[in-house]
Amino acid sequence: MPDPKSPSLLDADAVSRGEALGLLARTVVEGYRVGEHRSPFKGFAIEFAQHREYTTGDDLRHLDWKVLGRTDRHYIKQYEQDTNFVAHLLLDGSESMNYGSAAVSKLHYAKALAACLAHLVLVQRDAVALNLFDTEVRERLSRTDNPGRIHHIMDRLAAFRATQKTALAVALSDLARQLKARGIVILISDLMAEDDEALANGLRQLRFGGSEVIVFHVLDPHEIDFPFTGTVEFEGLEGGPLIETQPASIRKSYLEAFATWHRSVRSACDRAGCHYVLANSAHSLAETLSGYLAFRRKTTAR
Amino acid sequence: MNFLAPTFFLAVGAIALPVAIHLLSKTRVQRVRWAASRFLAAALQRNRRRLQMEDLLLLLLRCLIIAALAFAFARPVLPGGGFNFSSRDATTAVLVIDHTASMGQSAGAETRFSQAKVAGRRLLEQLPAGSSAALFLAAGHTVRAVPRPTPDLALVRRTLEAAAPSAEHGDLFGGIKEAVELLRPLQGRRDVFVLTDSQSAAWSQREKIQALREELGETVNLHVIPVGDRPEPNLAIVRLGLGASVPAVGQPVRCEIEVKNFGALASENIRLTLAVNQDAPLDEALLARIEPGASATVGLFATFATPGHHTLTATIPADALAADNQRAVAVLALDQLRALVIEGTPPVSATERDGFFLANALAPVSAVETARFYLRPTLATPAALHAATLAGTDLVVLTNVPRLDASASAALRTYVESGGALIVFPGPATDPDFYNNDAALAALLPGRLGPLAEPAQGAVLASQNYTHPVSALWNDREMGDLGGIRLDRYYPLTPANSAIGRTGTLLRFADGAPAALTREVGRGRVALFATTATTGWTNLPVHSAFIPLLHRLIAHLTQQADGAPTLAPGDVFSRPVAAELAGKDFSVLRPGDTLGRRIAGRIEAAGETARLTFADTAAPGGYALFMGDEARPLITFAVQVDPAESDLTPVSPDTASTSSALKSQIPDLNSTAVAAPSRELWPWVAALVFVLALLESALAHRFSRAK
Repeated sequence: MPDPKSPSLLDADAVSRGEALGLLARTVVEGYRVGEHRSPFKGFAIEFAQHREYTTGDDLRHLDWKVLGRTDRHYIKQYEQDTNFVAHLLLDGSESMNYGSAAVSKLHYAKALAACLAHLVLVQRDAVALNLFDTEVRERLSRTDNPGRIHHIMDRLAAFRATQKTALAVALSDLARQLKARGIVILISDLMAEDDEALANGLRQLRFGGSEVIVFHVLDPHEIDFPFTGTVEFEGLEGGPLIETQPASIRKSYLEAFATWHRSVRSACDRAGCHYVLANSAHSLAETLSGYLAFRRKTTAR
Repeated sequence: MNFLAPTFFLAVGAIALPVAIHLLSKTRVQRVRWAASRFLAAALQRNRRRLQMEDLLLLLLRCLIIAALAFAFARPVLPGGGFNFSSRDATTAVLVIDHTASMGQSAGAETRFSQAKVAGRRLLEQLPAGSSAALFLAAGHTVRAVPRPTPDLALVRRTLEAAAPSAEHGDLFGGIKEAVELLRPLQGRRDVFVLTDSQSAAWSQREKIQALREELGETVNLHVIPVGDRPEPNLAIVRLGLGASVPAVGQPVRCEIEVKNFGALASENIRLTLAVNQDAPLDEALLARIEPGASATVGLFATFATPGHHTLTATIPADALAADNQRAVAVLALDQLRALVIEGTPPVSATERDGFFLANALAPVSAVETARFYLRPTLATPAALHAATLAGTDLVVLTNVPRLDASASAALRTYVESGGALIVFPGPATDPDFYNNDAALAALLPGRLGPLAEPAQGAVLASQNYTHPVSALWNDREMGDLGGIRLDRYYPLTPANSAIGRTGTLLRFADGAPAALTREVGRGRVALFATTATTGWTNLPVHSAFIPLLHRLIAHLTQQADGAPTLAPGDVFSRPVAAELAGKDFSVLRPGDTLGRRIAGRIEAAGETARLTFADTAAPGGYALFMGDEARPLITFAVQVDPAESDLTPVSPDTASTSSALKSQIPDLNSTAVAAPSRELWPWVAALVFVLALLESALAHRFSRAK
């Protein structure tokens, strides 16, 4: 039975807009089924790709007889093969994700985003795998292309509780080692790791393996704008210090430090060739998801 | 530096307030579980020092504001200079504090007397070790508060603190002389310190003081310490009199009140009120403007509901000197004034008789109202002049009486000397020689009657320039013209020797010769006219001024008959009373007493009579003395400030009239023994508090902006 909380993770608006836009692999993925995505393996399916000279052992069924007739030369026709992709959802389940200035915490927002993405992937007959991590990978759901498994995914998402610190480098390198074939890695995290360099290294490692990486950077509006007034005692999550201060008096400095970090994150993503998506938890999930998918559709070459 | 209200320093404890508020605010801290601690910590690290400095600065400012407020409320006084004792030798000193009424002047905060006390206290603190001091309060008479020099300076200080200002008038010479005489026989260093507001009235005998100083030489040092800077503007009620009204029950009494402006600027819209027995004011007037140095006289009316002793109090709004803003007078209100008109000749008819005009002028009302009118004239013959008749009479009028027998004239003399009033109108039947030569009458009459004068054209009275309080009313032409009174026949008057009793010229002929005279004899008063009270010799009885003149004269003659006394502050009130009151307690209602009367003393037996004595007359105003629970006072009296005290002009060291030696004693002086007047610092501290508060607000606003 699905968890009663599970349905809340699926944003109906986000899902319907997402379904309309689809999730197209931005780069070529190695699928195991024929789907909507281009495979790097030049096969012999529908879409012609190029000619190459015949060599011994080639299947004569792919010989281009018309070229042979006209030029008396042996060329084999090659086709681009559409294939299924595997979306590896990598969800940050560290304690810092528990923060939420409104009713929705970053973790909840991230869970809902992951559920919507999983649903989208599954309905377009692609496969999805789920990894929940903090200092290490805590939950792992092997890949599946069965749409009926979405409830199972949501159950696992809903049941997860964030209690530990973040070790982004561990999670990313762990995943990079496990990936046998290229796919799409979707990292959903607030990226508040102690070491920013770990993020860059992890992303590079994944990209080196040939995977496309999308980073959904989940942030709370209060973290972005820091609108606190009066005297506030900040109790640091993930073992951060207890700080009592008058936020208004340090807001400018906070925003400067925050902007610097944000730029470095974006820069790391850009350098690694990843898509960076700012997921402000104040915005609706549909807005965030459809915005990115629209952008992706526009920029993805088929 | 001294403090006038050091108790307020306890408020410095309020510095704990901002600290407490800071600590309390901790309990209202919003708690947030926060993910982005690293940026917060970085921001805090970058701003920690600045934030600490800002918090510290704001806390310091807030504490400073509270401390400065407490400092301001403690009223710091900065001395202009201290006493520079040339040596540290112990001295024997006498502090002479000016105790006159003018020391009560103030600019609103503190009186000159308070300032003198502060200066005196500072002086005591600065006396060299081993010194001793005495304390005199000098005015008309000197109060030796600490009669002999004592080394217990704390006692002197306490006595000084307890000293109260007075409303007395007087010169400081007496007090200074007493202080000098006290020190003269002693050995060692001796100093007399005079703390004064330098009011010229208190220094009227400065030449004597200077002579005394020169006589002293080096034996006793005389120092004058002025307090206060410039004199304050002052309005004063300098006169309150009944004018010429008879104080009788139900009869409006016109009181003449003179208000004088002693300030350097004109005063406007001065509200003047008149009240009876400390009740609500019965009448009031608004004086539009009084120029500097000028005075204004106003007539206000009061009515007495009951006969007996009352006080009338005139009041103007409060100003620099409180003592002269009120002036009171004691009044004995009569139930009915009984007048005995003695006609010298038998009446021919109802209208042709010596007392016809007089009787009608004395009671100028209809027959129905005669019984209620305050004056009840009775016509009689000279035979009625005996002690028994006169005992129940308030006024005796002789008209055309030829002569009196010895017993009648003796009874008349006794009657007047004991407080009775007498008016004499001569006539054709009058024997001038008898009037001039009879011992009893000669002792009473204010003038001698000359041989009958019959000028062809008659003699008219002067129109104006009368100085007598009765006739001065006609100096105002709107009141009528006495120049219309013509005398065809009269006896020229020669004023009697004024040494016997004070005489005054009631009426004057145009050539200046007296036409009517008045005189005080014992406790009574007498008036003598040159002509008749009938129309045979003069038109006076039918002149429009006759009735008011006669009534004003009667008021004048009877006003002091009972001697409702007026005392100076500090005088002892003493008066004989009925013998049966001896041994009984009496109570007093003092000016401004809101808690009612209180027991004031006991009437003492004095031989066959008794005497009431009351000494606590320091406060100016009306006093009422009561026996037991009686509602009506046994007697009233008034204590009045001398108008000279209202003139706050200081003796100027620059004027030629001031002796040169006094110049070196009063203010500007280079004398090291003179301390400059102290200055209150609280306005500056209050301004500092204001600036600090503004600074605190601006900084708090600036610090709270996002950084």
